[in-house]
Amino acid sequence: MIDLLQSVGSGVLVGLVYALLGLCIVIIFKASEAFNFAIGEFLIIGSFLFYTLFFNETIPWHKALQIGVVIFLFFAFILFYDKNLRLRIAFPVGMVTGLLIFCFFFFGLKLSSLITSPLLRFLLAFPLGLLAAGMFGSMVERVTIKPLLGRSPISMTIVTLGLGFLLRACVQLIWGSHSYSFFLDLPDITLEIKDLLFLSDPIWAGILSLIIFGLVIAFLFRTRWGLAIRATSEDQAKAMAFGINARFVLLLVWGISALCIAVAGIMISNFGALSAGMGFVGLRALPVVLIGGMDSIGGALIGGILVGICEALAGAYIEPLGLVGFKEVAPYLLLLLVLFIRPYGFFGTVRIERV
Amino acid sequence: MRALSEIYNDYFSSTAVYNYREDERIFRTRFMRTWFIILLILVAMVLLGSMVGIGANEYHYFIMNLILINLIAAIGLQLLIGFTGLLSLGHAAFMGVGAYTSALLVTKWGCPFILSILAAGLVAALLGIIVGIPSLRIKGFYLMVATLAFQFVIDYIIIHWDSVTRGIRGIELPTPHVLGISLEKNQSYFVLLFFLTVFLMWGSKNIVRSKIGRAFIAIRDNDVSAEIIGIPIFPYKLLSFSISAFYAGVAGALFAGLLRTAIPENYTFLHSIIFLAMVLVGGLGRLVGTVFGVIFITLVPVLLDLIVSYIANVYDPNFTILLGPLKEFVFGGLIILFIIVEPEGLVGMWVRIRDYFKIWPLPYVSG
Repeated sequence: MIDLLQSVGSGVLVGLVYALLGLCIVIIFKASEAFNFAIGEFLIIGSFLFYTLFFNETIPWHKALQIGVVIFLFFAFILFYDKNLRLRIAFPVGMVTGLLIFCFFFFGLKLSSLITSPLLRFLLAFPLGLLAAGMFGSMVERVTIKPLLGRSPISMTIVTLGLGFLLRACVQLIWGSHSYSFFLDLPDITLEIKDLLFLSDPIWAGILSLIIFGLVIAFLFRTRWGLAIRATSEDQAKAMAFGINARFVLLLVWGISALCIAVAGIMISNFGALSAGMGFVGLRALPVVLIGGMDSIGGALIGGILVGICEALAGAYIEPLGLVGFKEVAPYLLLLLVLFIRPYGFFGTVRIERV
Repeated sequence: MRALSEIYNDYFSSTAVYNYREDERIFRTRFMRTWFIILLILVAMVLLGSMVGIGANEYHYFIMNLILINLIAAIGLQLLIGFTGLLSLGHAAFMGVGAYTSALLVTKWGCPFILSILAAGLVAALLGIIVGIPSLRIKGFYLMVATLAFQFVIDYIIIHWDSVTRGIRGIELPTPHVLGISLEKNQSYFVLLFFLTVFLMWGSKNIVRSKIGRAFIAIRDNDVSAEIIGIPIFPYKLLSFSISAFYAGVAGALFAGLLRTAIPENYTFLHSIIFLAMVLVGGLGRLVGTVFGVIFITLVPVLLDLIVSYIANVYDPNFTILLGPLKEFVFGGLIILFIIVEPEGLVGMWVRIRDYFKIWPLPYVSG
């Protein structure tokens, strides 16, 4: 009984992180009908951006220079695609941003020497890292998703498959494929009730994920831009007819999604270490969203918790029977089961097709 | 004297087809047939050349074998994605199933290699039917995910079912023999593969140009209306899955025979994506496109290998560790680039170039 409670409790805590991953997928799916298969790579890159800030990690000049040049090219040729303004606005802005990014990666922010308290440093580095991840997400959207507007959602999905490979290769080229030790040093809140023991890191992960989840929901349902996002998810053409800038909405959605993925990534790295091979964790979002329903935010929460529990139970009860690593496939078996019973998930909208 | 335009039309048919018989021909124009004969002559010349000792060596044959094996698998995926419109991310899993079936049959029961290839295809096809069952209710993206889950499950089974598959150590195969002839050299393996590939290409062309293929295309274009005009969609979807899996299984068995080993790392999610990339880069819905795509995608890592080893030799020996990431970078970049810039794939580019040169010297003469 204690065993069961223990595994269910840990499962729920990890499940909250998965729920956050599911949310990222759901909002992108609602806005553009596309699935983001590059989620694992967004997760790694978000974590690495935070890592650079928090641990003052620097990279050699030739790699930092390449990143700076890419940023410059992005600003000069993609963000400001206006021939008349290019020389006056796009080139200078691109130069300055590229230089700043180069300095950021080459010199680092030296946060660790400025602020000695780890908690304060975390409180400063966390929002900054998330912001960087969000910017990165919207940048990727501008380059790869925007040219596909109006094409079939499946082609967007396939683009994200290619994007995953590209980004993972970039991470390996920039940061190498060895693992980085990752220790946030957050206040110890280990919970001990009788025989149950919940470690500090998973509790922090659960709490922070829940907070971000709540913030995103508040943003979607309580602000003007959230309303625009919901309207665009409902019907893109109608939203545009009412004067909503659907392209900007798409940019916003990808930014928010990358931001949430970064939170999940930081929390998952905090369990162990950060490395370029961590991307497969992101694919855990697949069972989450398909169990909950592709277009349901509440479904993502419940799906995430279900997947977390399923994984913990499989780890506690089925793996000792001699099936090593069954934990990894248990969510996918659950997913196949759900697809057979309810193809659109437990809370997803059932599509009725007309010819 | 015949008019210039008549000669043109003879060689490069216009897209207009006047009756079903013309539409159903394997080579619609004399131009295509000429190309096919040129290809046959080229292959014969390469084989003759290496008999005398000039031209292709064993490494070149290895790469050609790789292209042909990938081609067999990619045709299967093309039939599924390009013609039936069912997306699959689990193609490498079928290949793995085929490879392991063949390896087990050959090593445990001493089955002849050629029979084990057939058995591998059939087992994979059976599995394909099982995987295809969800396609009754789900399609598009959801089906993609179901096949992805299947890929992970098969990966898990292959790695962890130690008593049968020997886990990550893999199964070693003896040198394959066909009709008493040893296929130890890549060159002799190439001859077998070439005939098999032509045979399977011919089979797929026949599927596409017959009733089955038309049903597939109708389902791809709109499955609800296909059902309304009287096509039983579920059996046809299952058929498409099983044919695709059959091709993958055959390719897997051949791949295991080429490498003399079946190891799980050759049949992962990455390889499924590579097959998807081959089909997409080649162009959806055209069998010729698959050939282009497979040659292109198979040769890209080979070229990268050459470039990287050259740089490593000349400048910095440490450069070779970048090879893995660079390959992934190029794959990802190619998928993105082709979807954004050239959705019709290499075959679309080829058609455009051909159309340009069709009327090239005198654009106003030909009709």
